[in-house]
Amino acid sequence: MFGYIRPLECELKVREQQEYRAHYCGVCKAIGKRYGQIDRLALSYDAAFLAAFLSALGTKASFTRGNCGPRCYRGKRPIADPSAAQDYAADVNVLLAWYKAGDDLLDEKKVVSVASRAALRPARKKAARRHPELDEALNAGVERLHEIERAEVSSTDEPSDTFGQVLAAVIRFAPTLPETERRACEWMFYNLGKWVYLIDAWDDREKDEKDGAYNPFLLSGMQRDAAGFLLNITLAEAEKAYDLISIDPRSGLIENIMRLGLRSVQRRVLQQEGCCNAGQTPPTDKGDIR
Amino acid sequence: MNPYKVLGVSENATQEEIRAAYLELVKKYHPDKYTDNPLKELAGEKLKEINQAYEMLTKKQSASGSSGAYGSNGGYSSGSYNSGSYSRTNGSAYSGPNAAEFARARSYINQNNLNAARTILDGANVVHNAEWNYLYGVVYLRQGWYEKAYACISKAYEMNPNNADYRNAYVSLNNSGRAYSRGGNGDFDASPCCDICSALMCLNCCCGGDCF
Repeated sequence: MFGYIRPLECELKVREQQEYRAHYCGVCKAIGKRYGQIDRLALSYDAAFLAAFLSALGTKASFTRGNCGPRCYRGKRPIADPSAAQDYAADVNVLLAWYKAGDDLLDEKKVVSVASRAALRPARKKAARRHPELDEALNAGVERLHEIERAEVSSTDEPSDTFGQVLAAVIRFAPTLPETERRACEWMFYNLGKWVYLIDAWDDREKDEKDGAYNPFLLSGMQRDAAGFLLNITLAEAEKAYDLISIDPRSGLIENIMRLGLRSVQRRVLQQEGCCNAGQTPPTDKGDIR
Repeated sequence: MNPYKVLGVSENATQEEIRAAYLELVKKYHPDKYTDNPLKELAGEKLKEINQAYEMLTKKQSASGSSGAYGSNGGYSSGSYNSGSYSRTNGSAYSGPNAAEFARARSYINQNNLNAARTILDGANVVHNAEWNYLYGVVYLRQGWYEKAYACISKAYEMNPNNADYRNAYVSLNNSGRAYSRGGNGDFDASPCCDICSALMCLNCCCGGDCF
């Protein structure tokens, strides 16, 4: 995916941070086991979020201390035990990475994207066999996005809708999702998908301008204020849906991502700061992006 | 139903704590927040559950004779908050051109049948007045197309700023679009403290420690 859905780490409790890392490692291991070592490179933060979210919603995850193969110099740390949630997050990660690589290929025609797409091909085939409906929904989304790109639609609604639908499908086909939570979860993930698309598009404006690639913000000439306005509405809707989901007990990690992490990522992207120099340019008016 | 669990309070919570938790939850699930949301009914159900839990706890308290200050009528249980219909907030129903069509479109929107509502609004003989813009805006809102929703609702509000529905929708959209001033989370990720944290984390990384 894109790696925008993540917690605000400095506000996490130590055990929440461990839990988050355990999910991250758990998904990584699941990818390795289900698809192969090379595909672990496609791991993204969003998949760790998906695993943590599904675990919080259904069967709670258990953790075992273990080593990381590629980082053998590091000591043992808690890793989420294999579970349906971890496996599904791994499958979703592979599928989305494949489609993302395809999209990059179309936009940039770089060697890296060609290579990553080639490397992901067998894994994607396997994942698509495991979740044919999800693969179909992804295909349809990509198809529709390409149509929108060809038509050079200048509104943000249409292109962001496609990725919103994709993430809604991701949660809809999750095997561990309780039926009672389906509607709220779909609306939450739809809005998260929209938000991810929009923030990624905003982030890529310069690059897209150089490459002559499609970007709704460039086409409409929308300014930062207006973009922030739309992003805020989208996040507010995702939060409203999240409020209606019964997660028992309330997970501090998910709370952090939904209430702080996403907004912090948005602030950084809109202010065009790199993650590491966040401390050097204090925002002029705090808490207000407009 | 365990009313304590619903309100998220401990079983020996005081009456004040229960009331505070209740008010907090009412604010969270307030119908005004979910007016144009596809999850409106879910929010309504949640609020009903919260009201029931609160009533159970306050009744219990008044039965044991300790306090009756916030009896059952202290709750938001008057029912008006739970009705999921798009009844006019200002009392007077729309009576301009295409009144019948717009009423039908409204009821389709209430049923979350957005396609049917759109079909009516796209009709050849329908005037594109403030009401039309408002209804189209709500369809877009429920569908998640916020750029178009905002354009339509702003237009409805500009055309007729005195209408309570248009104004409410316009104001609530503006509120959620402007960034929250939620508990000052605006500046701590830019605080010098965090920089030290990240420096430490980098160090930790270099020393083969516990970093990502």
